[in-house]
Amino acid sequence: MAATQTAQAQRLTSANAMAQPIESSRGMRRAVRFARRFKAATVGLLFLIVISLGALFAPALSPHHPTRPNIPARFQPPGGQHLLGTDDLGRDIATRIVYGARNTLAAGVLSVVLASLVGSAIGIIAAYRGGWLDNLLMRAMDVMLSFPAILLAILIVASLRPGMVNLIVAIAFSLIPTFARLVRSVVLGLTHLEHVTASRALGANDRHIVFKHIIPNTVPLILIQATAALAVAISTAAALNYLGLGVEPPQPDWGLMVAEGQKHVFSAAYIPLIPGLFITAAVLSVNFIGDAVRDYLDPVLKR
Amino acid sequence: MTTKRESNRIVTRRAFLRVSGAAGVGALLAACAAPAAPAPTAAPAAPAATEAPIATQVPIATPESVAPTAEPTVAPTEAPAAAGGGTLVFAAEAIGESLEPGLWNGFGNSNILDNVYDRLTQPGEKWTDPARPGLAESWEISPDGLVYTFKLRPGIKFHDGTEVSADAVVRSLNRMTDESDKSHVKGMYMNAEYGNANWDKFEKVDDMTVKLTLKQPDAAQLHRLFHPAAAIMSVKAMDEFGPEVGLNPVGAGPFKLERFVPGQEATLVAFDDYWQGRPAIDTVIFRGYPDEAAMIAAIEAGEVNFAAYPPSAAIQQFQNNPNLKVEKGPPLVNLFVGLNRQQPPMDNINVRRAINFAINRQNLIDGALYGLGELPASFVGPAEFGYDPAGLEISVYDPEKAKAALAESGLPQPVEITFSYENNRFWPQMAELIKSDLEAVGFTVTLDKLDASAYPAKVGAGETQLNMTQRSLWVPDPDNKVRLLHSSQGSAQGETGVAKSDMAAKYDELLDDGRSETDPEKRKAIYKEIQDLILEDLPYVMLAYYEKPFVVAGNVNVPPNAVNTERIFLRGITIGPA
Repeated sequence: MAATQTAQAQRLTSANAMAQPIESSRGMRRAVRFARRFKAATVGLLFLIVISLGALFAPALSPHHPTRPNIPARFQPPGGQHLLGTDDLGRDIATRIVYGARNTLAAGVLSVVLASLVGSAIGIIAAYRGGWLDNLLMRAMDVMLSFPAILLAILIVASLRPGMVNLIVAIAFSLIPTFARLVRSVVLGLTHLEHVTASRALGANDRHIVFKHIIPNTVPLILIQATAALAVAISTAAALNYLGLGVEPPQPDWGLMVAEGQKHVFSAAYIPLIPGLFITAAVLSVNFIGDAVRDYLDPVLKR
Repeated sequence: MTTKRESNRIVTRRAFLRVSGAAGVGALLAACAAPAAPAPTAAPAAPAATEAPIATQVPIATPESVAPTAEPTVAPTEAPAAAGGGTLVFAAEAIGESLEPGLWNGFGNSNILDNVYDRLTQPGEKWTDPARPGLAESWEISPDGLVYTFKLRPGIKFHDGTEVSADAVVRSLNRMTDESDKSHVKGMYMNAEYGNANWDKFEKVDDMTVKLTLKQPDAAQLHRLFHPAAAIMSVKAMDEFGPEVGLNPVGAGPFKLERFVPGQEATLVAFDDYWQGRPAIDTVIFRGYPDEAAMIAAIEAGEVNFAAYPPSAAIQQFQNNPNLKVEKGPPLVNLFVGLNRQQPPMDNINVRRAINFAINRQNLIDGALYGLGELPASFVGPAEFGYDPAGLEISVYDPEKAKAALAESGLPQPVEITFSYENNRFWPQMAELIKSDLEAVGFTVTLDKLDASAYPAKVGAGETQLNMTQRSLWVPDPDNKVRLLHSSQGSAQGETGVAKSDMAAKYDELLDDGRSETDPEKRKAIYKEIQDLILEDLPYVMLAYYEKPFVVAGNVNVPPNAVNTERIFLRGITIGPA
């Protein structure tokens, strides 16, 4: 423990030393301070960055094809020519993991972006307009919240058609109510603040108030909520893919890879285990980052 | 929905574990005590004996044989174990809702039917041999091949104690088409399997004689009479239970039904008065495992000692398990891709040829079937009557020929096609391998993965372009496999769409010729002609002859020929010392 801390400290000082000659920028120092304070989050962030880069440059990184079977090479355990082994059709698991990251992470990120945009819009409209509209929107959100998120998502994908787009829409839909409720409560507080009242007294219209005073003040909270939601979204995406409601085989996806590999769990456990570990690592990373972002932005905890 | 099923399964599985665990312990104890009893090896010889009743060879008539399965632990403690005996726990892929022979209720239920009922004829020594006498002791066939006169074996008892008579036989086989019969169920169609559409009349001559008159000669008629649907049931049961006789089957088979929980479980016990001798095992529990992972776990844990439908992905794992035996079945199951010519571009013969040559079959056998298959010729397999190895040259992997054929089709490439398949067993792996092969020669393949319930409906309605199915040789005659697919009266027309094409008349004519011809050599020539036509016309593309395996516990002895495709006869099975 102590050793790793010193090692880390050394690394950090060397990073500082490297940064020194080039006019030690404020951003860099802040980043280093952040990294020192939130170690787990930094590791998570690095993991996500590596995976994202891998997903982005997958074709350049891997000599193997993600979907083309190669029967003679199947069931090769991790190590050797295939870093993470091959699956039951002889496809390189590492390659499928990086290609699969495109689906898994994209589904998570896009659904959270979609949910935060729609949810925030609903929250702002409800809070700002108030009255019957507020009531209607919030009761609708209550109805949606009364279903477990995953069940709601399954319902939506199953009634539409399994596929990537519908998967994203379904996950986004199940995440909307939390965003809407959070933003509404924040905006309710904001509308009564003095600078908003002053602005209105000066003749500002609704558009000006919403865009200049309300939205900028809700962004940090939306960001915190979004990181929390991202963890849920990634695991939901993996779960739906596991159930066969997401990408179509032979396209790779982490959840789907677990499902396809589970029948080999007794004989070649690494086939379902590896994608499972990646799902766990990704969700943990996002959670760590979410915690760190909350702590960082929270003025009470900051002191 | 899912959660409900889940919880259901967990509860019943636990309950099952308790029962079967106890049963297993019981069997084990019984087996341990067995060496004291004389010659347990006498029992396996039983199925080899042809017609002579062999009851005397099986030295078991002990009181514990009727011990209820609910408390299996009673057996070893209260009574000394006899040779053989024991409980077979049979893992089926599912247990259906009814045991009505006239309706299809899944493989598991047809396995139960095969062992609860007996039929007029029974399979020969080898599966593809001529049929042997069953409940019919002998028969005469008129020179024109149209009239069969069956003499029934006297003194055979149904499980309810009534005797097998001409009345029972005639009623059992006519009830599916006779709407006035008390036990008729609307929509019964399995009678097609025993050739009933070709029957002019089936009638009683005297108490022990029945007469069957055909419309056209049928070389496979005696074989068809041992299809599970041709079950002979007790008149008393048909009267008493009426249309519910499917829930209360009373036959003259080696096992009688003790308990049936639709959709879950069935318990069979040995029938002491079985005319070919009481079976060696005392009890058979049939259980459905719709979930592959659950079945694998149950096999590994020894919860079941006979798995008729082991997931192919786990075969290697079972082979490595010293407590299990993996037995390879004969290559009697055809796996093929139907090319529905009612859906363009499958109407283009060059597209069909391209698909035929594009598929790497050895890859499928190694990759998806785990080596349990043989390279195919045409629809008649190597162990069957009428096999023609010439097809091995055509059902072959040759990507260059495939590309040439596709170029010849004149279609702009890539040619977009949709491939439908069932989302279970080895089908998904096969589909992914085939997709990759087809895309390598100039197709773009959309995979259409369907539920076990949705798939047959979509294929049957002719709404698929490419589909993937199996056809097992349940009736060991080439007519059985080919008629369903090609005849304009066949029940599987959606696969290929041939029946609605201008080729239908040609196929019908050849099929009828093949069925009517009774001279084996001439008949062989006709089936060669049919195979040649199929290889040229390519209504479907053969993938493999699947050697369907089964897995048993190390102490379960399965005589040769007890298992053929999905037809399983448990009478000769013995459970030895562990």
